[in-house]
Amino acid sequence: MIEINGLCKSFDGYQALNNMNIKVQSGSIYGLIGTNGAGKTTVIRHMAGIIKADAGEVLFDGENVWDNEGVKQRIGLIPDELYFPNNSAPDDMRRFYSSVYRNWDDSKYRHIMDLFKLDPHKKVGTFSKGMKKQVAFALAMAKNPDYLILDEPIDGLDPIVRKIVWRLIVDDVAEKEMSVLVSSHNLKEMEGICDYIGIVDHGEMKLERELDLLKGRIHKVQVSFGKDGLPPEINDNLNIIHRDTRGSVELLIIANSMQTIEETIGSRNPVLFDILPLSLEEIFIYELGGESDEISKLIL
Amino acid sequence: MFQLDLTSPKSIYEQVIDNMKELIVTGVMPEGSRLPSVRELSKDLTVNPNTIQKAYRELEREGFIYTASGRGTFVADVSVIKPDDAKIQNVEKEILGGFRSLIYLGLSFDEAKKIVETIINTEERSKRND
Amino acid sequence: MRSANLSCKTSAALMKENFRQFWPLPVIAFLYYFATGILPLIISYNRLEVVINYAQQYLGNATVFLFIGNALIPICAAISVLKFLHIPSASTAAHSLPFSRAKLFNSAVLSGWIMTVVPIGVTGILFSLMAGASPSADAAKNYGTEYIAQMGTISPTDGLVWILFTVITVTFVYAISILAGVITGTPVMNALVAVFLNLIPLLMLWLTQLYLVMYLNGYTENEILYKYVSPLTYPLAADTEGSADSYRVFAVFLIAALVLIFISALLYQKAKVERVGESTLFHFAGDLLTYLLAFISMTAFAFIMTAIVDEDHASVLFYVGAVTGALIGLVIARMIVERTPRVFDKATLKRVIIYGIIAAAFFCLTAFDFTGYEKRIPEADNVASVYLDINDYTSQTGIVSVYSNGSSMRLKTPEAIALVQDLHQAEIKTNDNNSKSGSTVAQITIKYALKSGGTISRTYEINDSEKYAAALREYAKLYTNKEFIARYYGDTIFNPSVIKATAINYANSESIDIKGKRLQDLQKAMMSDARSRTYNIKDIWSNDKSVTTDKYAIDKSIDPNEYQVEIDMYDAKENTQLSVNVLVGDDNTVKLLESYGLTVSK
Repeated sequence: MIEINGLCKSFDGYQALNNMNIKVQSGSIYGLIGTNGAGKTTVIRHMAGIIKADAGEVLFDGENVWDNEGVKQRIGLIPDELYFPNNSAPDDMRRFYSSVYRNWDDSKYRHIMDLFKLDPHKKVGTFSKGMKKQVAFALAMAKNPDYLILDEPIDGLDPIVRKIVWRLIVDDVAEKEMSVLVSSHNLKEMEGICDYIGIVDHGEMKLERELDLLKGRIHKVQVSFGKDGLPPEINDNLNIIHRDTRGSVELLIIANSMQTIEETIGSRNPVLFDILPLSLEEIFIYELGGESDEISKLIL
Repeated sequence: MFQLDLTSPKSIYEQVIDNMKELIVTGVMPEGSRLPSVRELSKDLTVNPNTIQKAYRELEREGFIYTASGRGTFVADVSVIKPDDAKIQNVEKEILGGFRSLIYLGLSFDEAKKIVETIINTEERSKRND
Repeated sequence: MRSANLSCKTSAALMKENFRQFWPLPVIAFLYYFATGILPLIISYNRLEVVINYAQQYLGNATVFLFIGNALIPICAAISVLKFLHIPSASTAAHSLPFSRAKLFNSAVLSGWIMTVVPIGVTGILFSLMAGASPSADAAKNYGTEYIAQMGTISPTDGLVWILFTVITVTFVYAISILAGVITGTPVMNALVAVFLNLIPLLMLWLTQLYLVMYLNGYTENEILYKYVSPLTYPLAADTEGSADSYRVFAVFLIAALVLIFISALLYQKAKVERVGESTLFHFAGDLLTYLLAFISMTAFAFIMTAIVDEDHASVLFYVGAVTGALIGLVIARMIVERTPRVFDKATLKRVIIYGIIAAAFFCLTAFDFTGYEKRIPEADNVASVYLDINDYTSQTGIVSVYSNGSSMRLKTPEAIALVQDLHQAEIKTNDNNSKSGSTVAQITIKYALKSGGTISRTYEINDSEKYAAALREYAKLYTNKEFIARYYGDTIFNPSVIKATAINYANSESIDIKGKRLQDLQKAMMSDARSRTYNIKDIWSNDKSVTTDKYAIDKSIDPNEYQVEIDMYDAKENTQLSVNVLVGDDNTVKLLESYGLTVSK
């Protein structure tokens, strides 16, 4: 389990992390989502033991990561900016990592490089950006990490490659209970693969929940009571975040459980009553974006 | 084994459960046949293994499958499963909703009724032919 | 700070990786040493006479090639191995590796050092193998037997000694460059600051001496100190490596290098990886560089200003130059640190103010002589002997003028010492620092050798303005002292290296050469003339031409009391040692010169 407790960090007066708390359960895939500049990359750099926080701690199974060789042995990181030494081929990196990481698995590295059809002897400088990410992925997975941390890794890879990547990740999660933290903007993809979601904004954790539970607490409802309009009890008993009226049909965003909504509205015999689950993207926008008209246009 | 519809409003968890139930109920997976392991299925579908795990647990709770420790997960005898009342009510609502939709489309009550009867008769016939 | 942070552990894997990436560096370094040092020896292996001087210079690290090589190679090594502190993506990758920060640092530093010294080791061994080089059979014919006799050879241990001194030299430069790398955040800044920090000791020494000369009356500029300031400059001074002093000095350099590396290790522990990519890793580094640059620029502008304009208003111009220089230096430094030309903001203003306070305090302090340096004069009975170094530029003192000497004369008699101390006292009382009134007439360095051990050294000038009247009198009195005259004409003018004198009459362009016994006679004649000279010191500044001393009067427009005859002294290599004027009243000298055939006229 990865625990981040009360992490605070400021850069030259700018408060990047403000009491950030994250919990990644063992063997889960945790999606870290947030707007640009929310602090995702900063948190990840703290997790990998690259930067030191002003306050708070980063614990891997109870052990602090800072300057801790043992913990770092078990972490595989793919950062947002990749680094390959000048004039190096993937195999040069392989040689280095195999002598550094105790759990290094050469066959795994070769297997993944084969899957990606990449030449391990060619200089990485000649690779495209996407291919570089693939090499980084192969190297990270071959470390056999207990914790895989990915900072916007998938953006920019073609669909075939992404499928391979997720398949490999899912395999290790299932087989060895590898814990994964992914930071990404591709909410559609995250929705399909993450079981936990953490939404961060302005350096704080705004909402951290099991994804299924998250989707259970906010719904999009299409309802109509014909010429009579909405009964006032509906307003009073439900937490309506947003309302859009088109003729006699109301489109409501309601922050209540499906059961509550069904009981409250269904019992009053609406002419039209549809409950539509919100996508992760919509939840993200509503949790962070507020009630601006542009955002609702995006969703509706 | 089956396909997931990522555009569907149904969550993956629900889809796995429903798809499994269909395979079991229709007899494609007969009683006693072995289900793929969590790992195999998650890899196959490229889905979070925890989701598969949860789906299997729910299926086991509802009596559709059972786990023999060390040997795997198997299809149970589904003839003894009693349907869940709350779920039956949900499906009743869905059917009612579908019926009403036909009327909104402009059909008369009798035309809508005819369509529903045709559906049931066709289903009954194909079941008899199996 | 836990001591666990400063382990000595390294990682073989990290070092190997550095070797794999940067192997061209030691290869190029070796080729450089080989081409500049070994190759000439190989080519002239059997004609050692052609190359021996160069080889000995090389083995003493006293050539430009080695000055450059021993500086550049360690700087490049430091920049290479500290890449992980200067490129953001590299620092992310490096600091996420399963190594403690201490290991990261130690491995980088050690691998860079190894790459720097291995080429030196190989080259040194090759030097030792060159010990068999010998002169050609007909070397004596071309170079003379004397030259061949004192030529020297390459001994097998020369290469090993060279390794020792060169390794210490590059280690010192490397340590400074590592320190530069730990406080800067980009490779460019690393390079700039490494060069800067390596130069700083020299620069600061020079600037400090400039100020001391300006503000401390009597301060003697010490050029020897430059060689102690960097192992790169040490061999360029008189002492060669291998002398007893050099071992001591280089031991100190080595210890200094180790201390610097230790400090760098401490700083690295505190370095913030999030600042990688900025120009400095520590805020204090940027400020330190800013203030240093401001100080250097301030001094440069101030002194250049006063050098160009040589008048009474100079002191105002000095401060004008100082302020201009300080501002320019500050602004440029801020631009470098912030990496933008847009630095005219509050932050810069704050630093301008801080620097202004520092500079003001500095200049105020210089007005006070805290250690009593200026007034210090040893007790007469504590003086064992005194060395005098005199440069007499013009003949306006009416005293024998001596151009560009520099060799010291040593006085032991109590009377002579007393006269020197009187002169010293007069100079202290004159208390004229950096005067721009009048022009320098003579410069005197007095160095007391004390009975209690140690020396006291002061340098003064004599100037033709009225302030120096008392000093001039004491200076003139020196020339009446028996021991002074004997030493002056014995050690200074007719010093042992003089083998020839040429007497020139500028009035009619006649000239004669005086050698051998005639030279000795000339010396005797001049000495006896000098002994009979007297100076009426009281009236030396009288403007009334009718007031004359026994022999001389000072008239600033013409020199009526000299003949237009100059005697130049030459050594064996035909270099002019110094020149002496013949004065009216030097009857013995005039008679002798005329007997040699030279017309002496005014």
